[in-house]
Amino acid sequence: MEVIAFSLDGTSATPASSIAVATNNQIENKKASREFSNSAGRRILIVEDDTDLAGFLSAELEAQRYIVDVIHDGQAALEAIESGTQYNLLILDLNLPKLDGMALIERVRPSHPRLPMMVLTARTGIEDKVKAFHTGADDCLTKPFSLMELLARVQALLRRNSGMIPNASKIGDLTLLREERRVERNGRKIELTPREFAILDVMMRNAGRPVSRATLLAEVWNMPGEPSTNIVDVYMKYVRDKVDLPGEPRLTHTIRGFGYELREA
Amino acid sequence: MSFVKPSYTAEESTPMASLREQHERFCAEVAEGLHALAQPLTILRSAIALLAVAKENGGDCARYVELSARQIDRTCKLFASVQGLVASSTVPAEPEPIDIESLLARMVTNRSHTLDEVGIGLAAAAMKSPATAFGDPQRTEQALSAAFETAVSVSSAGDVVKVDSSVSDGFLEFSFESTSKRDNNLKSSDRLNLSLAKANILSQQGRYEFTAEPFRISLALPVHEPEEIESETLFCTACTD
Repeated sequence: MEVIAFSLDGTSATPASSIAVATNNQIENKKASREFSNSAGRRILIVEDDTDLAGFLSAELEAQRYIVDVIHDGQAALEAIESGTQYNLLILDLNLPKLDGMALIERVRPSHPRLPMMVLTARTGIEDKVKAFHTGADDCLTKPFSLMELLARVQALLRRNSGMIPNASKIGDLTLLREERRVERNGRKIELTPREFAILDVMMRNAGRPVSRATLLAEVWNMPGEPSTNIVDVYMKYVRDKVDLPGEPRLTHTIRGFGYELREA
Repeated sequence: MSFVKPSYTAEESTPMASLREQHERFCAEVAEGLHALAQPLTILRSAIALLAVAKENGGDCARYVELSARQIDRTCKLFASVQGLVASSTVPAEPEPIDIESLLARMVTNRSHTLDEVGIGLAAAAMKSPATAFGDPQRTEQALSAAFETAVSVSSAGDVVKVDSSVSDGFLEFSFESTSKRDNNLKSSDRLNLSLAKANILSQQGRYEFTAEPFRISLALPVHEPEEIESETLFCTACTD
């Protein structure tokens, strides 16, 4: 895919990616151009209550050929995401009206395990960043940041997201489609709650390998550490009851004293 | 640490707050100011670099010049607010008789044209009982301006900002209201302005009140009694002679 994000003769309206010129040279600039060349068609949601900053980021990302939506409060952002609009990346401020950034991540993460989330914050405390990562953020950038760094991180997140986890996972006659949030077994549609879907998503990504209760607790509930609750077992039973109907070959297996495994026979 | 925006439901001056509480509030207010400053600085940091690139490539410099100028102006205003906030708790006020009515009239006149352009109405009532307040002129002007700008900031086209004044119980009160029906979510710069207005007024024995619904900020300073003016005048005359 070739996207001319900017040109060296200055005729393009997209100078953001050419910041390198200011400090290096035109060869570096060409590298930057190629680096930002796979952005077309990717939809990004910016949730930032500072209208000036949101407008600036939006303009510069659009100049890179991203499709950008801007929302100024957490509640409206949640509604936009839950409405079914397929975003490739969520960039959000933590200090948001109506629903703060941390709560937004918590609400969105279980039902959108593949959606990369980048947090923008003016708070520099390590504990704040750690909390954001534990809550489900994939990246964290402290204000005042450089646009060049933001663009590079956006690229990295999108690359990681598109390369590491495929949209579809299949084991036996069980299929999970992440973008469509659909699960089917042998033509039978399986209705799962967001939490159940997140569990099955983790299990499918680790198909053929035992997954510990602690891993499920960390990845699905964002509760790292030794599990002292049976919540994983309870939800795993819900998933098992829906995936393995009587008469079907069992795909979900209990690994005694450890966790669960998804495999054929 | 919570990231939820502070709730601005209703607030009154609390002169009995402990030193520790005052210190914690002061730190939170300064942090709010720094948070507000981070927004324009983020834009500036990038816009300056983009401007350099555009200049070298013969690109569109005007956009980034205009953008940078606006953000520098914003940064300077926020910086002045943080500076005012710090000064109000570290430097003693220097009270003197102030003609607030003229000060406020000038403020309103200067802003009326820009408000008219964006469709925000302005209703400034004439002073019902002219009186002179006793306060620090610089602090008072900064407090009034901060309150006025906050009322403007929460308003949008079709809303009306009302400025009123009255005298009661030895205090000259100025109120700034907005008919805005927007929900109770203030921008960080608005929260900083409220903190500034409050700190500046309380630091000179004034009164501060805020309610979010309806949006109303009230600032009051002690009235300067005419007898005091006369006695001061006489004293000065005697000294001159």
